[in-house]
Amino acid sequence: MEPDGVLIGRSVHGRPDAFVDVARRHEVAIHAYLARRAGRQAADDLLAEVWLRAFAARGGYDTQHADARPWLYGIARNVLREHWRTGGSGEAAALEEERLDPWDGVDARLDSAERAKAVVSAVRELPAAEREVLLLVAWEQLTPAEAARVLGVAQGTARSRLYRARATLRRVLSERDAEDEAGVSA
Amino acid sequence: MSDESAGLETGELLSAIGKVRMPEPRVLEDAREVLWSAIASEMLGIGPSGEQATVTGGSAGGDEDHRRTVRRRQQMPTDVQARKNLSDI
Repeated sequence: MEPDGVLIGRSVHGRPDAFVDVARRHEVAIHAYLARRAGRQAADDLLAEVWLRAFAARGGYDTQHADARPWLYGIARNVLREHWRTGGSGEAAALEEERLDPWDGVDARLDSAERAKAVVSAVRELPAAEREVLLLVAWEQLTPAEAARVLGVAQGTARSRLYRARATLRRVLSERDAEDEAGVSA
Repeated sequence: MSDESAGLETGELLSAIGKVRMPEPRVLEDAREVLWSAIASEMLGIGPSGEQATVTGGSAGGDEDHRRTVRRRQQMPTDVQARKNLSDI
């Protein structure tokens, strides 16, 4: 399989149709990225906009990067921000609503749906910058370095945000567990 | 519960919360159709406002191939058919 960078390079130099292979390769992942943050309907509506912007911007792609996902997520992120600016609901609200979507499956796998709700609540309370890195790693399966590319920040910045987000989550959930245990024994 | 096990569990929960259903195939096809339109415009040298422009890149012969492909493409309703025609190049 040819790397994304090769396909994008080809699409810039005389074969624009080569870009369709990049879209086809990542369309499910990009749709999922949009759906997790803005809901399924918005994802359906916004996916084409991501392709149009990516196609228009492909001349600036660094073809040394074999995997185009971080670049595409970055474009999808900008599309989402504009969507929210022009009337869509915010990311934190979307997270709260979107958790209803996979909830049946989650219930089946977890001992306690309450704990998952606690995680959602804790994630929502994170600073936006930390939450973004955390979810890029947890949901999009990116490395911290790839998340840094999405966000346009230094790798060290992404790593420190991820570290802080994980530490905060652990602390919040531990505190919640302690409160629950205290409530049970009281 | 140790910090490590708490971290692992939180990671699993996060992944579970992030699960979304696969999009309908029609949604993906529709988005690709929009992309194809942009590609066709570029291959025909038509800018966003509809003006004719110079096609960049590729040999002259290659450009003519692309234009033929795009002309065929514009007559086709589906992405599947487009792919078949491009394979004829």
